[in-house]
Amino acid sequence: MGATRRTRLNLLLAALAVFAVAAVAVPRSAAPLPAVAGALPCTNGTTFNLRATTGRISTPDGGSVFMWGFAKNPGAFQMPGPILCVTQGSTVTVNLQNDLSEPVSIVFPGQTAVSSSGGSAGLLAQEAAASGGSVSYTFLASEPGTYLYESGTSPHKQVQMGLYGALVVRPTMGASYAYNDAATQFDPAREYLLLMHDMDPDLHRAVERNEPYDITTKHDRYWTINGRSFPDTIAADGVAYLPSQPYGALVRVRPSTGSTLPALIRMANAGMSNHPFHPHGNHVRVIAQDGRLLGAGASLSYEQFTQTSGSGQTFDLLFRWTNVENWSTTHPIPVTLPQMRNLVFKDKVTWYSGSPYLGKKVKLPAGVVSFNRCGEYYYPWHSHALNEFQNFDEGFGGLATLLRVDPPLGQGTPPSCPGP
Amino acid sequence: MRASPRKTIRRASILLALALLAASIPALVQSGAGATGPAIQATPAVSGVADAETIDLCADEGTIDLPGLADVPIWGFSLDPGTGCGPATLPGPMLSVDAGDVVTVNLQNNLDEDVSIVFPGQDLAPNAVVVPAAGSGSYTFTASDPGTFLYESGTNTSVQVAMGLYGALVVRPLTAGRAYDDPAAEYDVEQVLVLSEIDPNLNSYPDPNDFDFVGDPDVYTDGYHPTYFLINGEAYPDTNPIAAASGDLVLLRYANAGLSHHTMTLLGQHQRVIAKDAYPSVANAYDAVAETVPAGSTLDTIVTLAGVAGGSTLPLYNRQLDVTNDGAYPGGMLTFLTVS
Repeated sequence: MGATRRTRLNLLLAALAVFAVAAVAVPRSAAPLPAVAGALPCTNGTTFNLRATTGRISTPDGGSVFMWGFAKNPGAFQMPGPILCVTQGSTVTVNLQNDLSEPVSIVFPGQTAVSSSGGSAGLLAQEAAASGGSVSYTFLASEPGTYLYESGTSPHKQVQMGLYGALVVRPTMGASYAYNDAATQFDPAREYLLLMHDMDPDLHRAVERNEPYDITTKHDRYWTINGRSFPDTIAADGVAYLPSQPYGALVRVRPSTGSTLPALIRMANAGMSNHPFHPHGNHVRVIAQDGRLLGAGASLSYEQFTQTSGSGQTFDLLFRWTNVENWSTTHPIPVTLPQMRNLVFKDKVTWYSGSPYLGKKVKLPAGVVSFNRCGEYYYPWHSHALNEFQNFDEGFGGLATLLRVDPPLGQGTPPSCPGP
Repeated sequence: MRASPRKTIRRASILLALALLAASIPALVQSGAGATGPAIQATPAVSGVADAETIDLCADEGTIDLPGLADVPIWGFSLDPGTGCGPATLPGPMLSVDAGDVVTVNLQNNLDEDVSIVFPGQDLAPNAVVVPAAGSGSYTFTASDPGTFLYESGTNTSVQVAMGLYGALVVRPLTAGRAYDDPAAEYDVEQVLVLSEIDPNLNSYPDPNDFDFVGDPDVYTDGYHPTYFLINGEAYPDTNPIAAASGDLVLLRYANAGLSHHTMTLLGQHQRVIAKDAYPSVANAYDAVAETVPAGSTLDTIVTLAGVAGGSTLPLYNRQLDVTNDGAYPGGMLTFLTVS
């Protein structure tokens, strides 16, 4: 596939073969910065109007995949569906308009007593009729946590096609807590969603062409986090070149000090396979599964360096980067770029070509002053089912993102990197 | 088939739920204390006495019907009630004994090849007894700990297990109506859910041992590629709903006899995970929407139907979306918890 599959990101990801990514070429002004740490890009409210519709997502190899998705109504197609954020105790109403050519429904795993109005009875949930039908769902968001919402109609097809999204229920204790427990406090400026999916583009093409959809032939070729495949996952929320994939997945932290609150990572798997997600840098602390805290005070929480997320599961992870390397801008972590002979190339065009620019060797462009201009530090976070760490047979890609560790405030070059 | 030459001791406490019965009644549903569901038989609690339990099994060829696909050949276990081997079923008979029982399982092998039985989780040397074709053998172990277990073929396993030689073994604690010796493991209604999958191309092969599990490596769907996904040997719409009443505690005993992991999800209420591989961790129980039952593993969850209104129907299905029969939806590992 290789030669025709080009990345749009001028990024050096040379050292992914080892633990740390040493350097990312950053044009001073040309490209947008990676996602700035900030609040989760929530769609807040208690009543949400969604529309099931078609669209395309872009893949980093220059291709695109036909999708079905939940869009805001009114609103354009997006993947995944909007991140619905509500407060515990709210009565939530989701109004679905179905612009697809077959009935669609939504199920809300983890919610109880979901009632519906309109539409007609389906096997798993009330359905909105094809081509303009509608249905409404109402439930009490009784328990905080991270949840999925997804199609309940022919889910082997419709979830695969992209009809899924995340629902965040914030506890009554406050938006800087994951649950009603002091042990779940996090830095609200460092709250992230990693919503995983796996796709066989042949099935999507069959749907697009109105050909038979044969799930027994499913063979995944693309894997996404928040609807994007790596390296698009590390681009900022809402970048112009990913118009239908608004959510980035770059996790940003600063070195933890005694008083630093952890980041909260809401991980969810809408795919059809179990994904062993492997963070580097530090273990993650798993404090909740499927919207339920693991013991009072997270007493049953545990640390993992690979957290397998089963299909339909969610996990809430607290993360601190504890800087055991004692890193600072005056004490940089020595990262040796790998020797070429230690790198594995599948062909002439795979990722690292010996330059920051993929596929061909060129000088750094004007304006690029540093590979990591804030002195920041990167780790790959990725599926350790390593076949998922690629885009249609080209690595690295797929179900992966980066952890970006920014220098402590006041350090770095320039000394004030953006973000909290 | 040959007449059984064996001496047997049979006790009423051996519950034998034949999949044949499942077509007419929810055969694998049993009741504990206060159950409202259909009871097959209560298990008398026997305190401090190591009873001898003898179970006569046969390994045989048979057939099952899947939705849209009749007479799929299987190799399965069956029960010899003293009058000869019954028809092979998938899964095999559910074996239910009391903790502390000394269990003897006699095997009459009517297949054309060696067969053995392994009892994962029991103190029993694996493969100690391999029963030749047309031969018989015996396995004895003490069912020392309560819980949900599998028994399955330990010979030529990739073929024999895929063909259907497996079943569930439930070991009951001293106190009836509990999954384990813990008040937090009480239940009103229980359901064993033996998970497995079938590739009809294997099962229908003239000699399954000649089946090419790899096939053409360039053809992804070639080789062993299951297309039917079963709960207690049935694919939706043939699966049996689980009947319970509002307020009940429903014990779901998952046992994955298949060759793949299966992640099972319940809509409308969380499942409280109380044990994995019959290792109770009630104090560390947690609530899940979906949980993975790895191949060869068992998982016990309790669903609390307090607050779930009568008339509710909670879908229970495989969240890897193995909810198809040869690609056709709905099917596969899908059933419902019907609340009265």
